[in-house]
Amino acid sequence: MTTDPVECRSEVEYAEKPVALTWDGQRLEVQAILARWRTPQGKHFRVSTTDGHIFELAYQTAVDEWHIQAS
Amino acid sequence: MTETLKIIIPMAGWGTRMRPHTWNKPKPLVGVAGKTSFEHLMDIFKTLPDPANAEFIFIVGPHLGEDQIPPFVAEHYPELKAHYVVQTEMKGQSHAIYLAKEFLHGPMIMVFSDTLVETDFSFLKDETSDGVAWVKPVPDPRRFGVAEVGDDGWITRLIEKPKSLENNLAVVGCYYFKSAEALAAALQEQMRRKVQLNNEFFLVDAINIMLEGGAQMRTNTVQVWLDTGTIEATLETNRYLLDHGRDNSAQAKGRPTVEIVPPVFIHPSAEINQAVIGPHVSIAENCKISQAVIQDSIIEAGTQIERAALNHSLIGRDCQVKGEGNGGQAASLNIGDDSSVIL
Repeated sequence: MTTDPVECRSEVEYAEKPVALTWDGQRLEVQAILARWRTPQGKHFRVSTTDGHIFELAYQTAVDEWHIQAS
Repeated sequence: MTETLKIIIPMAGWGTRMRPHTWNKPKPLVGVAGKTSFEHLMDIFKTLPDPANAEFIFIVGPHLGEDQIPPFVAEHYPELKAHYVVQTEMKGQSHAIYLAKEFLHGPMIMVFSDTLVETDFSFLKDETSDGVAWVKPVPDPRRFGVAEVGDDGWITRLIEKPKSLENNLAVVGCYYFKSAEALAAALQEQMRRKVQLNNEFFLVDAINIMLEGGAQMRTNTVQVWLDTGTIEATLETNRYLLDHGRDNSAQAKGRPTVEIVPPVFIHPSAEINQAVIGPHVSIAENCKISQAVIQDSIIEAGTQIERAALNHSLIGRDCQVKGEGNGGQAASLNIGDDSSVIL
């Protein structure tokens, strides 16, 4: 059973652009992607949400898991 | 087991983790180790106690699933007793299964379409418990759903993402229920209670309702649990299957000017010249490959690759990949059907 804490657009590949995330049980919409980078483990995004918070999102490709950290 | 066994296979998800391959075909029709993951899944049912007395209910998505799965089944499994239910709203696993309620009678198996396990179903002819959950022991269960088993050996509940390492029997997405009616009642009760997460009804919650009501379910342990839900998992599954029986390198080695590094699966109709293929490469029918070095990749039918080095790639059907052949670093590509790439 999985439910993704990050919703994203996936066109030419999975997780191209985060559009929303779930934090403390609340769905927050992504306002802007401030930075994006890749590591051997997967994809990383720093995003701002419409309520003014900044989060770092990490998608680990091998284990198919999202991790969210508030900045 | 004289009643007809119902085999429910939900496969209606969008398959976003398999993009771009799932833009024009349902996820079960993506190839791995020489055939589709759908065909690998169907292979596990060869061990059913009475295969002729089984009916399959495929829960497919709108458009791609409903358009492509029925003709694929008709062509590859013409004798199969198959029914199709279209899930137009993605409200979760339980919702998907409940859509097939008209077929939920007698004994049933439910398996998710991107779950491949090595198992033998023949024991079901003597099965007396209310249900069986297939499980695999994992070193760290905290990112899986697990089965908690009591001292008496019966499952007490299913737990999603346990906090501790104590229960390490991950449920792999394959279940047997002696009474599909009992499952249907639990699904109905789950929806009545609105037991859901992010607007999706998950099957483990319905099973927990059955367990609360006194159902006796046991585990059946598998050692091999493969997944075709993501690009990484599909390539890993490709490697595993080639390492365990799908290799045809002895047959593939008949091609002059081609060096084969086992294990590989190369369809006999593939034309290959001046190439090094393998290890862990699957090449489907009617591919044309020349002046190429390919390892750890899946190449689907009709694709042409010329003067290119590829590693860790998933290339769809009828693609064209052309390189300069200058000995540069191998490319890792993930491209869908009918794509053209110049490296």
